[in-house]
Amino acid sequence: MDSAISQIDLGEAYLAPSATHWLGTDYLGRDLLARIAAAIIEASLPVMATVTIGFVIAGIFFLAWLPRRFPLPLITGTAVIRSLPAGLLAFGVLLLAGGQQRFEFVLLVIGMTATAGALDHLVNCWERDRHLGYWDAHNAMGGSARRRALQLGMQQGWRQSILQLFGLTIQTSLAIEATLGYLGLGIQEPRASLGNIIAAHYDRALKGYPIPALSAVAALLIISMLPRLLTAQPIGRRKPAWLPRPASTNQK
Amino acid sequence: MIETAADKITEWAQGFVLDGALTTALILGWLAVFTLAVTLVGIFIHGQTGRNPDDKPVRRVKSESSAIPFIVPSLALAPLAIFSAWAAARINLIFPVFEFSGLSDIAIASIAPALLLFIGSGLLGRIITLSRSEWSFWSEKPFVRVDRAFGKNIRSRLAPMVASRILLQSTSDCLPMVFSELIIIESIFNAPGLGFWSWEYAKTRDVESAAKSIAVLFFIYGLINLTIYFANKNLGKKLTGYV
Repeated sequence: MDSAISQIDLGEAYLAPSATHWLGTDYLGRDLLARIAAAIIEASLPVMATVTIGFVIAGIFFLAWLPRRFPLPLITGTAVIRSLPAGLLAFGVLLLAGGQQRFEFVLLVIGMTATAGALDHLVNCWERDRHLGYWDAHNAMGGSARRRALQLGMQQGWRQSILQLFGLTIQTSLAIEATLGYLGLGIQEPRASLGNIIAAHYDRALKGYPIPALSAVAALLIISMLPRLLTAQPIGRRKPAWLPRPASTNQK
Repeated sequence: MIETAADKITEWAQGFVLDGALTTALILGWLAVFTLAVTLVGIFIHGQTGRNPDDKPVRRVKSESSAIPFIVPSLALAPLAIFSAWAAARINLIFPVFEFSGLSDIAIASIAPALLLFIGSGLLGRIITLSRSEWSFWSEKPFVRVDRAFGKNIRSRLAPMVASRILLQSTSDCLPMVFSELIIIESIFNAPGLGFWSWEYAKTRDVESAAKSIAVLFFIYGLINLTIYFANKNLGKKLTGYV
């Protein structure tokens, strides 16, 4: 696959879509579909994995910290990081750290903001629900705080909101990665990112050949909207159909 | 001493920062206009069509599930808009050259980026959701029922309250995304705002100037956030009086 996506043949540049090249070729004669697939594998999947790892770390840290009270600097810090514009933050950090061309820096910033966002959400949920009647009853019967947070919170009451936050974080992280790629930061040519594919073909698109840029735009739209749609709450239903039903609890 | 400090600030802000801030302010200004306009339209529609909660229970929107804005990446939305406008109506949405354009040209050119930022950052969706939930929430309050029983016009009573809540809530929810997407929107539209300049300087590895632009952007962000915070605090005090 590597040879297919990085094979430069200027004689085949900007070929129209055909049976050989389904989406045509780019400005260096490389197969565009293979480039987009490579961008998803090389850039989008690591971003999704980073966000997932960030959420898992936040969950483990949150459960490990209970039943102690969360320190104010931690609560304030995560809330501040969560409220900052992540794209601007990533851009600034990359510039100031001198890591403009390093994808690892992009992943680091994305992972940091995802972890902070998830932790802030979990702490907020905990502070909101920890004195609910049935939570207090669970406590009175000798149940541990971790068990309450895990079983009554993460697996039941908070599950939908955590899923939605997860979907949103993946969506914004993919948008940030692609944006940084467009701006020339993070992944660099000849490695593929949806952002640098759009950037490489944007001028050509303005001159009347929009297929390469639009293909990458469509891929970005699909890949960024998919996690959000999968975790969205369908109208008139309590949760996505593919989720197992929670064990019944007497929440009243 | 004050003069020296003022001179230093002027010197620091000269050139690209001032020009950039003007363009960014124009885009954010249009964004504010769209936000206000859609909020008022939403309130007007719900005021006209909103049911009387005494007749039939109003479907309440779950705040938790609707609190997350539905965003669309501007990197996808903006090129689509530019290509479609050109292909459909030969309208060029790219910014005119700054040095050869008047303020009115720049102001008109800022409409499209602001509109896309408005849609892409999730503000539009958030306002639509909030206008429904806020209107139904407040129209069920006892003081509204009393007003309705006495035949008073509840629309004029509720509209300012609901509007201010929608504006504050939607802005604070979507502001991070607005500023995140500002760089890419300005870059794609070639709008010489602070985001655009920070990108230009990043390309030439002029880290100091790029950091300067980003610092100004963060300053504007902080200022807007502070305004929202104090407005929220002030409004909260007033609203606790309504039962």
